[in-house]
Amino acid sequence: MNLLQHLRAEDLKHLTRRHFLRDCTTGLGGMWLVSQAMGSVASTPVHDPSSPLASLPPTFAPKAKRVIYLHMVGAPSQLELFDYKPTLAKYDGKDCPAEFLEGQRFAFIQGTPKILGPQFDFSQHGQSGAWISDRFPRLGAHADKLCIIKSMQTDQFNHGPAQLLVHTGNQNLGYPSMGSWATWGLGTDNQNLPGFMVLISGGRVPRVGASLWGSGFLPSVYQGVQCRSTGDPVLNAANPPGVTRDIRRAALDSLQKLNRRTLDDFGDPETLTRISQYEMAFRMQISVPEVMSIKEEPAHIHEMYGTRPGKESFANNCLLARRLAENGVRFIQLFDWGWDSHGSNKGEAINHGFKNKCDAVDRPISALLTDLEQRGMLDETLVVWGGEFGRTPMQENRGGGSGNAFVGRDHNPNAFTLWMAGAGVKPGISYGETDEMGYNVVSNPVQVRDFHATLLHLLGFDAKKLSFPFQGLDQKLIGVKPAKVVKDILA
Amino acid sequence: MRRPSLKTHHCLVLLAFPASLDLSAKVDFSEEVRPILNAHCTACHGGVKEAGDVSFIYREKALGKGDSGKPVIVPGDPDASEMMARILSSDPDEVMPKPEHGPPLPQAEIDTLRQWITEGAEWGEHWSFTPPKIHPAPDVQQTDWPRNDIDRFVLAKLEANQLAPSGPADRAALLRRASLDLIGLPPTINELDAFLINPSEEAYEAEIDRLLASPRFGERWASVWMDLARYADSEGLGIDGRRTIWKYRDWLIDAFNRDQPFDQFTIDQLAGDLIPDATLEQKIATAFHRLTQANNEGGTDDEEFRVAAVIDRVNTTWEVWQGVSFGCVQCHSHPYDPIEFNEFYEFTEFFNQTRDADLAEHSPLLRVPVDSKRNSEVNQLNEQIRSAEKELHATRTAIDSRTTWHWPSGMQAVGDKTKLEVKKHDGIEEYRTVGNVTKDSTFELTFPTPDPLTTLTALRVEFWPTDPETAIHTPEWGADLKKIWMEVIDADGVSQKPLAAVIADEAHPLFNPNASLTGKGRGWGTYSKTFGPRHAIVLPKEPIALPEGSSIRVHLRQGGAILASFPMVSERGRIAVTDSVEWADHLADTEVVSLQRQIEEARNQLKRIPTTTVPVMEERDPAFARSTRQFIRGNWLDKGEAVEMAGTPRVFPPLNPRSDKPDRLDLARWIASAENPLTARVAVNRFWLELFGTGIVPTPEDFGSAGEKPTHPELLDTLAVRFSSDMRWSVKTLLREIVLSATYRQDASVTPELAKLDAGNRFLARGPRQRLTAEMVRDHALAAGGLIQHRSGGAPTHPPIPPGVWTPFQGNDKWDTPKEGAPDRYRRAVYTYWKRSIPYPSFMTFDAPTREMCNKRRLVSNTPLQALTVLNDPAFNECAKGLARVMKYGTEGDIDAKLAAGYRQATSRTITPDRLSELRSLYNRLESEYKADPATMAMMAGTPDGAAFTVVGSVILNLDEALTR
Repeated sequence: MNLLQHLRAEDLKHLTRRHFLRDCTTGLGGMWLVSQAMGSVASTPVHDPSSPLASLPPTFAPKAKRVIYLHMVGAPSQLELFDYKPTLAKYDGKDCPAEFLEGQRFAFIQGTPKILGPQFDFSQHGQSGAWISDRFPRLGAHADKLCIIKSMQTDQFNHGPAQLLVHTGNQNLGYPSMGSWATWGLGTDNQNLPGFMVLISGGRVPRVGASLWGSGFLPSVYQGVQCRSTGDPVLNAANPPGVTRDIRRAALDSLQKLNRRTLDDFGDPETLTRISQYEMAFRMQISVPEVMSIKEEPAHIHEMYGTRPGKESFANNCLLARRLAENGVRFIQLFDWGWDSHGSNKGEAINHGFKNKCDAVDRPISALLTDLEQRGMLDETLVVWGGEFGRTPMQENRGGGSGNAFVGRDHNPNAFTLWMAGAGVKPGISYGETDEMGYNVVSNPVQVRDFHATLLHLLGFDAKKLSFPFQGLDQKLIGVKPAKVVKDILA
Repeated sequence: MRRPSLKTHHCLVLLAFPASLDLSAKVDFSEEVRPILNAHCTACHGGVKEAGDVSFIYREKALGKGDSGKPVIVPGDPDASEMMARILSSDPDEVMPKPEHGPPLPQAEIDTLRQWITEGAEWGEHWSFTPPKIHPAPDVQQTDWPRNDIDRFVLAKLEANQLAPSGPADRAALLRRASLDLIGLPPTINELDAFLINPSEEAYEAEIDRLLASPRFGERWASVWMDLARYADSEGLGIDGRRTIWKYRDWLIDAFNRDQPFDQFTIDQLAGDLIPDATLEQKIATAFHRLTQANNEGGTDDEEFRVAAVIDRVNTTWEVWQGVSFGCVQCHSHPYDPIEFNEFYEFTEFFNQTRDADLAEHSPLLRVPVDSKRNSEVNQLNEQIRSAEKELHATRTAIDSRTTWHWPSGMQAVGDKTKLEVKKHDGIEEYRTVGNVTKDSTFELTFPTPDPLTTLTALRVEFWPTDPETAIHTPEWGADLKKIWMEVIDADGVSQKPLAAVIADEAHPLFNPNASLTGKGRGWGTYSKTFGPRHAIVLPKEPIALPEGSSIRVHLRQGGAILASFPMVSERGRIAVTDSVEWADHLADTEVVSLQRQIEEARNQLKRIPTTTVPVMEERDPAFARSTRQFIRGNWLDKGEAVEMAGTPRVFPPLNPRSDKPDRLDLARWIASAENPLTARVAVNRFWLELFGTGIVPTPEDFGSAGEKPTHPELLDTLAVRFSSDMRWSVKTLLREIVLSATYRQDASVTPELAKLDAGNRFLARGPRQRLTAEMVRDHALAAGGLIQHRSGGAPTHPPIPPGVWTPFQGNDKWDTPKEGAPDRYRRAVYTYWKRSIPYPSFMTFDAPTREMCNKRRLVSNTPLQALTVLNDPAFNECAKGLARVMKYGTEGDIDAKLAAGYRQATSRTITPDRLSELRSLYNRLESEYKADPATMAMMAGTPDGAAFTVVGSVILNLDEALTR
């Protein structure tokens, strides 16, 4: 660390940095500019503590102003959706060739597994000729918008750690999520709403829960705020029974007057912050329920997304994502549970539950892309779709028997598919290839950390430099291993 | 010519540390040189990377020659030192730091380095790695201000910086501060009144003593320690199911209440199980390291998460007691501090020999009476069982060593669901599985009766890992013997022979081995994972005659799948038989019978005592010791060199082990020793931090060279030495001394000038003013609302939770809140059920950690979600109603008197006229609005004044003063 970094790091460690920032802005602003001019220093955003979510410029011109991230919890099968493998069909039902089993650890497979051919028909779409299965008929029409990475790799093959790795860059708990890094780096455009919002569907929360949108060691104001589909969209946004908006305003007016008196008595800047945060809370009580209510959306929009107000659904969340994006939220994260197709029961089997899940997401995802495009927002919004790992070309064979009625595949960390669309990425391309069975990557592998580096690049940051000093290390989203921006997919 | 050190370039720090400017003294390595090296050099030339074979962590290496062949540093001769040449070089290919790595060093730093080399380039240990010393309290000018030596250290620094201390805090504010700091609760109105009428010094001391003696004291400080201990009532990873471990929390509260000396407190938690004649309490204390996360999600590898827990124990031990982030060393030598890669794994060995292994049952579990008065009785019964088991095991091991076992020749092995083959290894026939194995398989092993046997008195079953050499450090999946039965085949046909006992190869098996006789229960096995060959001895009901030409057939039913996926099937095993008479008589042996009776009786007595369980630390039988290996780059599957012996890093004072096999108890005593340079410093700093909001070392989590230096090093060292000597590690004595200081008792108000000079209050020219902790926010509101219920200890509670929050992965995991009025609804925060994946929302909003890992410091935030919580959360709404009742019914007099009482209840302050008039006008307005709108009123209260008091109560609970101490 050089001197400037050191000073910054010191400063950030101090809970009381705000006083310094307020009183020495020119000095620090000067340092900021100097540090921007020097190539190799870490970048550590400095916020005005009285409005920690105010917009900040990134290090260089960004391609994406915001991110909508659609995570299919449980890891959808790439072999049934995007990674078309005719060879797999030839081997369907045959014993898995030995070279695939040697030295491999599986989560659930026992006995000698059989190869499972693609369960659905594939065809080519758009001018790009992307192979997309008949499970995603509507998305197929958007093929020329998609940048499909078929060569994603992770080193985690259990759901919890793998989800953490995708969302926080580390398989352990306690690290800031992508959305926290983005909001910390950029602030947000609408001071009436949190900068990082999370929506959940599928009936269950991912197992590691809030850690997937936690702020880790970053200040807690940058953590994702989970909005719920039933009850208060933000916890405790509604007044208690018997407190009207007018009564609350009157009560707050008194509270703020009394708190200003306390500020006079003690001169504690925290009191000043508290006064401003109570006002933000008051605004959020209106702005959050407003933005979260889809009732007033016109009928054709509901028709396009397949939304039903008041129901918890992925479709509702896609529409909400567009509304949040329109309202200046920086990072919008959707989790949809139920994609873990082992074939152990009807609910998740590829030939049953998986089919239904595909039906349930195809329409809203397509609607979201259409809607963003029609509103002129797609070129500044990055949409990402993916899971936490891939699935094996082998049929899962629980218990070692044969002839399962439910078709499933095991976890495969060696290869999975993720796509992006919108701001800053090349539309209508496929990147990376897997082997003829779809088991391993054979060209252009993309590690999770490479994806993170690319995402931050699109937001205007060098992932090697966006760092926060913690536990003696300049912590980064990409961790300590080398990560590269996938330049070939940048528009 | 000396220049200001690195930090003094900073405008704030320039003001903060002018005292450190000394223009003549010798350069101090730790103070001045190490920071320069850390800032510019060690990223490439440090513990992780040694670019060009140059490193600045150790002196010997820095004085050596790098790849260039030129001496890096020549003591006394900067011009001959390659380091200086490279720093001063104008050649962009030569200069250090490389231009792409950073700008050239400032002249001041170059001067410092030059002077340091001229003076001999002496190395110094980092300040916190050298033993603390007592420093005499410095002389001060304002002699009438200090009350004790703390004040003299603080005042000397203030005076050196032309600052003056603040006046004393308002007495009510002081009692509030001390009460919340020490017991986590505000003073009651009666306590305030009693204190305010007696202005003597003794009255304050008496209040402090009352607070220190309160049973609420332990509840407050347990919360602090629970962050460090990563305490939770759920197991963490994966499913995050419930884990019964609350007896540890009660132990912790009790330990603080009885002021258990911090050294003993440390030893009990780290190694209570190894203390000779350990009490039940000492064993419960070891749950500290059973609070690591577990993963019982289907398909997860128990060894992976056992290793993760061991690593977490290592890191947590360092973070909690030594204030050093040791975690870096898992992958490489420490980037800044002289702790080496291999030392991490030597330290890991201390923790790598316990029995717990990420098992679904959380075993080993200790049975603990619900009523702690019966602790010693239960401990005695537990010990009776263990000692009888030990004796039985010793007897059996001795017989086994005298037994001649006969191995089969011509064995046939047939599996029903798993394919088997017979292979010879070291001349012994073994069965091996072929291909993938299937759960619940039965193995049928048939072999001719070995010569010259005519009777069978015992059978030996061995389960082997396929490769014992690697299994000892990287275990294989284990196996269970679900059921065993045997037959003899002779001319008359096949006859089944009844079996009487299965004897395990360990004294205290986790499951009853005899269950293998019936197939009901888990029975004998290696369970989950196996590190080496294991065996059981099976005794028939009576000696079995083996006619000439007969064969023996043994059926081994293998275990089911654990974690929904891993079949507990033995992939390799052996069988042997004997005719030893000793086994024939064994079960009838009077001593054996008596031992078994003792075990049974003790178990029966235990059954009559209401008990709960707590997971504890327990060593493995040394016969099954694991081999600890280094992990290459921290990857547990990539094993490096074996660790020969547990040890502590060389940079610290030596470990004094009791034997040539150092164990956890040796380690615990090493940590809890006055010779350890870090333990007392880190502890004192932590308690100081709670009272002042910032530690004397502002980075309590890092006492290494990457952390910040103490603002008052002499004060810290003096307190640390005294804590471990004349205070006898008494936390209460330490806290008492701090809160009696004039420093602590100062007024907290800050002038704009002072705020500018010392924003962070590092100099302590004013008293502390802190926001309440997450726990205090709840407890304070309950107390102000007159709702709080004090009851010590017990199972976790489930206070009201906002709707829609409780969505556990397991559907049967219920959050049952007691109904309004029921005492358990209003217990203190420390008792609230703590689920790591769904933490109690208001705690999270107020900066409590999720406690997945050791949390060394809570960062205090100030967010709108906090406002929404105290304004709208149903639990806080209930408190507002309570406060309304206190005002309306609990207070005599007119509206003003009631409002004043409500305000005082929540802020401990007497209301000022302007505040009262504000509250009165709000009250009047609300009352008339509710009167005009009875429908709205009815949602809140039965009468307009009741509704108005409730809203006013909520305003009072949301005051900055109510959320602050």
